Amino acid sequence: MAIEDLTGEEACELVALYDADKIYGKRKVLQNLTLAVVAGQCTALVGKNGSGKSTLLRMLAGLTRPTSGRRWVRSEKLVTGYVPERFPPFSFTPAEFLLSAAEVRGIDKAAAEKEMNGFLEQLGMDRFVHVRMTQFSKGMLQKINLIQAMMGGPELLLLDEPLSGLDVKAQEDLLRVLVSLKRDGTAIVMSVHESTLIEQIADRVLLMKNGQVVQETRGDRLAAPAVTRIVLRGLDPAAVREISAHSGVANYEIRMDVCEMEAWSDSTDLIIREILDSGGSIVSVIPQEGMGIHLREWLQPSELLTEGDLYKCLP
Amino acid sequence: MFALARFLLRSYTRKHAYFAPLAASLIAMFLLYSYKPNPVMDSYAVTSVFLFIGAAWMGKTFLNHGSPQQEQLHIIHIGSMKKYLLSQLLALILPVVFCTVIFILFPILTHMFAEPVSFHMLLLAISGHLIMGLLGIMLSLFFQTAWMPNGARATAVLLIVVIISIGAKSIITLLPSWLAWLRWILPPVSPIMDGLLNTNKTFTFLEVWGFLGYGLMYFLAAGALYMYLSARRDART
Repeated sequence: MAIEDLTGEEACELVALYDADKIYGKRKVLQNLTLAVVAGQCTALVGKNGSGKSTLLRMLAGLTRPTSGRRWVRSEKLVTGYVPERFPPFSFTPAEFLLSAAEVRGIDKAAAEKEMNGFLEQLGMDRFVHVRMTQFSKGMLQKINLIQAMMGGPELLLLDEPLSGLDVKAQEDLLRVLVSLKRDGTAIVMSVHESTLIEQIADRVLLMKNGQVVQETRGDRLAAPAVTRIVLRGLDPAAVREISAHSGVANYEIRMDVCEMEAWSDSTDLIIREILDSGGSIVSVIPQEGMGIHLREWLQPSELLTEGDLYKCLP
Repeated sequence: MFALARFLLRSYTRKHAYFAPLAASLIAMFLLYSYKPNPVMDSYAVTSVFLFIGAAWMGKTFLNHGSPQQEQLHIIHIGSMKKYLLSQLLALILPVVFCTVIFILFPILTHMFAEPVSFHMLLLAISGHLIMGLLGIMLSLFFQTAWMPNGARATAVLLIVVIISIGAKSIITLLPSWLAWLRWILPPVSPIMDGLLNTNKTFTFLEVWGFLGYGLMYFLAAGALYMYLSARRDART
C-alpha cells in the first residue's frame, strides 16, 4: 500500500521502504510496505500487539532486512538512535554504559559526558549515574534506554513504546526532550499505545494491522487543539457567563439545570477550580482529543488526564 | 571497533561466563605439567589442543552472553552488522592471546622441560597455539545462538565436531574412501597436532609450518564465509 507521495519529500528523506515484505517461516509479518521517513517529522505507529510495529521499526533501523522489496538509506553513516522495547540487563552503571556507547559511536569523551549529564538531569536520573543498572526499576532502565538513543544527535530516532514504564513526570520530561529533538530536525518514528505522545508531537499516525498500514492520519487532524467538555450544575446563568468569559473557555451551552462547557485542555484545571469556587458542582469531565476518533480504539487514553481518573476525583 | 570489542569483553567478564572454560583449560595444563621433565614440542602440542577446546567453549559462551536487544543496540551504535561482527572477533582473539602467553610461558618459567626451548621451537609453539585458538573461535562462530537457536543441540554438535577434529587422523582412516573428503571440511586440528608432536621427527620444521599455514588459511576461509553469511542475517530478536 502506498501511504505517501515519496517524490514530494525526497529531498528530506532519510530512510524509505519500497514494497517491503517480511516473512518469518510461513508468517507474513510485514506486507507490501512503502514508507518514507522525513527529517524533522514525527511518525507514530499504532496497532494491536503483533501488528508489525516493532518489525517495521527494526527494518527502518536496518536491523532486519526485507524478505522482498527494498530499504533505502540516504547515507550509510545516518546517525540512528533506537530504543528497543526491552532494555538489556547490563551489569554496568549508566555512566559506564552510556560513555562506552558514545565511544563506539565515535563521540568525543568530553562532549559525551556533557550530553549524558544533560539528559540524565532532564530525566531525573543524575543521582543514579554511578549505580549498577541491575538495581534499577523498569522505569529507570527505560530512561537509560532513551538516553542511549538520544545521545550523539541522531538524525533518525526509532522508539519502540518509549513511554513504557515511565511515570507521569518522566513522560512529560521525555516529551519536552523529543519536541526539542524534532525541532532540531530529528526524524522520529515511534510505536505507541498512549495518545499523549501522538497529540503532542506526531505529524502523522499510521494504523497498522496484520503487517500493513491500513490507515494514515496526518497533520491538521492531529494538530487540532484538544478541548475538554465539562458538564456542571448548581450555577445560575450569570455565574456561568462570568466563568465563560475566561479565555480558556471555548464554548458553553446552558440546558435546563445543567451547563455544558468546552474548555481548552490546558485551561481545564483552572476552569474546574473556578466552577467549584463559584459553588457549582461537576457532573462530568470528558477530554476531546485532537486526533481522529477512529484511532482511539487502538490507544490507551492519556495518563496525564484520563476520564476515569477525573471521575474518581468528583464527589 | 576497538571500543566495542573492549565493551564486549567487559560485558562478558562481568557475567563470569568465561570462568568455566578458562578454569578447565588451566586445570588441564596444570595436570599435564604435574610431573617433570616433559618433552618440549609434545607438551606444546597437547596444550595447543587444550587451547582449541577452551577457545571453542569460551567463544560459544562469549557469543551467547548478550541478549538480542544488546546485539541490536551494538549494531546501531557501531553503524553496521559487519563492524559488529568484526568487533566480536577482535574481542575473542584477546583471550586466545592471553591463554597462549600462559601456555607458552608457564612451563618455561617453572622449568618443566627436559631440554632448553630453541627459538624455532618457541616460534612454532606460539604460532601453533594461536592458530589452534583461532580454529576453536572459528568453530564456535557457527554454533552460537544466532546460527543455532537450540542451545543444547548446538553444544552437542559443537562437541562432536571438536572430538572428530581432534581424532580426525584415526577416524578418517576408518571411513570408506568415498568419505575421505571429510578431512577437508574439518578444522585441521589433527594435522597441526600431529605436526607439533612430531616436529623434527616424522616432519621437518618446514612441513610443520605448512600445517600451520593450512590452519591459518582454513581459519581465514571459514571466517570469510562466516562474515559473508552473517552480514546478511537479521539482528537477533
